[in-house]
Formats: sequence, structure tokens, C-alpha cells
Amino acid sequence: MRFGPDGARCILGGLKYARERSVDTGLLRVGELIDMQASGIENPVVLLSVNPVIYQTRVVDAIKYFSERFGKGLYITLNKPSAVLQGVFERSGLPQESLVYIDSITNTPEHVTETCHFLGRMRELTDLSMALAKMMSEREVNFVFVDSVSTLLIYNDSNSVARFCHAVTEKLRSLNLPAALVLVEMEEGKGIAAQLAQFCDAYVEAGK
Amino acid sequence: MANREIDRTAMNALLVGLLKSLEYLGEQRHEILDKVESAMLKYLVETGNIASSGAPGKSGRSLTRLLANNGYGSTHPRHLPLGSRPSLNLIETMAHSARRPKSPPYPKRRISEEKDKVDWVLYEAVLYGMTRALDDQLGVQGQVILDRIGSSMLDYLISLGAIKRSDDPNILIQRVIDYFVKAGYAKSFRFELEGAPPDTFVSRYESARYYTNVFRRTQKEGSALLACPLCLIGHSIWATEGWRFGDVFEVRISSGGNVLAKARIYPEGERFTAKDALTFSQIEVRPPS
Repeated sequence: MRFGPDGARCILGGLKYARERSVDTGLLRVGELIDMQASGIENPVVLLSVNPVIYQTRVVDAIKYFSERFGKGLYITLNKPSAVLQGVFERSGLPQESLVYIDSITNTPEHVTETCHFLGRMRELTDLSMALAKMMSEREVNFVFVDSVSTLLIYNDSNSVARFCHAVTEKLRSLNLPAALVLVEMEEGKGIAAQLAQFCDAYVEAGK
Repeated sequence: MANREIDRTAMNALLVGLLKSLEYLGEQRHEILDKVESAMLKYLVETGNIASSGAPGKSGRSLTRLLANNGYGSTHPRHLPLGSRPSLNLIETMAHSARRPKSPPYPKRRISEEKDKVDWVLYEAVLYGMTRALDDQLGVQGQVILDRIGSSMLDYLISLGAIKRSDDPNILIQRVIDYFVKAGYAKSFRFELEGAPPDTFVSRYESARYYTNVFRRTQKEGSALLACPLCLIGHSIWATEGWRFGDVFEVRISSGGNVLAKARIYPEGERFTAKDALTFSQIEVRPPS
């Protein structure tokens, strides 16, 4: 939407345009990028670096790839409420039963439903790790999707976040589970990307 | 009574901070700026400050009038460098107008360019627009960009001489508070730390329009983001001491605009230790068969 010489009419008319406008990435799909870098690995642990402008598109793309390749997954959402994500994924053709969630963003007291362990707006990495262990013991999941490491960096120092991610990936490897750790490309996350890449099988830059 | 205007420097700092925080995205920043603009217009329409798009012609005129009354005019494409986009986003237009020299070749307008205040509602619209856009785009991690806006705002205000630099964070914070109160952001602001060791940051405002008009609205819409400019600058200052700010977990807003807000704070230090990692690694996970 542009602010042109014909005044606000074009701006207001542009409201619809801005919402409908899609990002023409012209890029390979996330799955293709992962396959290129980790084709020989049966259960890859992937660090997925995503441009903020196409973050949502790429996350949907990635979760569909993981779901199609591995089956039912555990989605750890630290950014958007699981209810919102369920709607987005369903609209993009991913059946609701494909995922269970750990949700630490919805503003609700801790409780567990059939599809989700709500943690409330919890920011402790130890609590998150316990919830993850519990969920993996109680639900049959074939992959884990962490969305996102960038959110953990808001409340935690990078050493703690790196240690947490390392502990989680080690646990998943011991269970032969593939995983994706999403990192949004921001200046603040540059340092940790190199640290995390060391213990991941592939570092996929999904979108420029 | 709540302020109806805020210092232009505060608005300029916000616009510059927003643009600077997205600079690293290159041309792609326009995707986000367009969303900011859409949300701003939605806010202005819904608050009755410009006519709705259902009233053709009227809507355009009312927005143009609002902008002109606040010293922001439209920008003609010929003033832009060769190869740049043919026209500007509303945020860029406002920032461009703010930086525009007051002498020719720019034509004289009927707008009051000397006015050193802008309507609070326009400031609110920018705050609402950037919160909604970042929340829609990125969810909670949009707070990273908001905090970066705070840092850029502080740099801008210091470079302008509106706030005097200090290496002592307590002195600098006090100067920031003094500046914002004088600028018309709130009638007063006090803060205190709770807990031993401190784990809660308690803010008390008198007549704080951001909270009554914007924060209340964005919270209701499900956003956990905090865009209070005074807080964002505060975050950037406390960050130099290793402090991190969490969610506002309690907020009380009176009808008179008095606000009590409590946010979690995390002092410097590791929050997932080697011992925590060991404990986690020793938990036996037996997936159901």
C-alpha cells in the first residue's frame, strides 16, 4: 500500500490489498532445503533460520514437511496461542490431529487438554524442559518443533538458551526423534545461531 | 485530565526508531511497514478520527486533514532518489516530513510546520499500528524489535540533545522519565522494585493515554506485546545492566488514566544451568507404544 498523491482514499482502499498481498518468495520450499542439507540423515535435527517478513509462511511450510515425512508431531509454541496456530494450520491443509502442543503463551492457568499442555505465560526453561519430558512420555509423537528460539532469548541469556537447546536435542537424539528449532533472523540472534548450528544436523536459511 | 498533544520530538523519535529497527531487512521492511500503516488506519477509523472507507472521498480528506494539522504532508515522488520506490508508506511519509527542510525547493503548505506538538491520537495510532503489525507477523518475538525501537529512540533523543547522556543507568532513567513527563506522555511516572532479590518491576502512572487507549486495546485483542515508549527505552537502559523484562502480568487502569503495571524482571545470570541440563538429561522418557 502506498501513500500516493490521490490522498487517503488509496490508503484506505489499500487495507484489503495489504492483507491479501502475499510474499512472492521465489524460493525453494523448506522441505527441499532440508533435504538438500540432511538427505542422508534419517531423523535430522534442523536449525531453521527464518526471515521475519516470511516467518509465518515458512513455519507453515516447515511443519507441513515434518508432518508429511514423520507423522504426528509435538509443537512447542512460545509465540502464538495454540488455538491461533491450529486455525492457521487447518486452513493450510494440515489436519488438526497431526499435532499436539505445549503452549506457553496463552494466558491461562496451567492445565492439560487432549491436544495441549497449557503452561500459562511461563518463562522458565526448567519448567519447559519438564513439560517436554512429560509430553513425550504421555503422547506418541514422531518429531518436535520448537517455535521459537528467538522468543527464549527475550527472557534468557544466550548461554542458558544454547544449553537448553543442546539438552533438548540430546534428549531427542536419544529417542531417535527428528526436530526443528526455529530462529528468526534478527541481529540479536546472530551469535546464538553459530552456537546452535554446532549440534544440529542442518542449518537451513529459509528465506532472504 | 489526559493530554491531547505530545511533543513532536517524541513522535519523531518513535518514527525514526521504528524505521531504524527495520533497516536491517532492506527493501523487505516495507512488508512490515505496510502492515503498520494498515493497522494505524484501522485504529484511526475505529476511534472516529478519520471517516471510514465506506464514505468515499470523506475518508481521504479527513486523513489528509489530520496529517496536515499535525505537520505531515504527502511526499511527491520526484523528491525521492532515483531508483527508489515511487511513493512512500505512511510511516515513511511522516518521518520524511519530519526531516524535511523548511526552505524551498519544498513548496509552502497550509500545514503548520512550526507546531512543536502533535495530536496524541496520531502518536497512539503509530503505537497501535506497530504493535499489531509485529504481533500479527511475529507474535511474542515481535518484542525483540519493539525493544530495538526503544534503543533507537534513546539514541535519537540523545543525539538531539533532548536527553543528556549518562553512564549511570539510574541517572539516565530519571532523565528519560523527566523528558517523557515534560513531553506530555504522562502526568507523572514512578517505579519501584518488588521482591528480594527483586523479581517484579512496578510502574505507576498518572494520566497515561498509552495504557488507557492502546495497551488495553491490544491486550483485549490477544497481544502480549508492550509498546510503551518509556518502557522500551527503559528496557534498553536496564539491558546494559543485564536485566531482562518479562510480560506485564498485572495491570490496573482507572477511568482517570491512572495505571499500576507489574512486569517480571530477570536479573543477569544463567537461568538454565549445567545442573538443570543434567537433571533434564536424567529424566527417563518412555514414549507410549
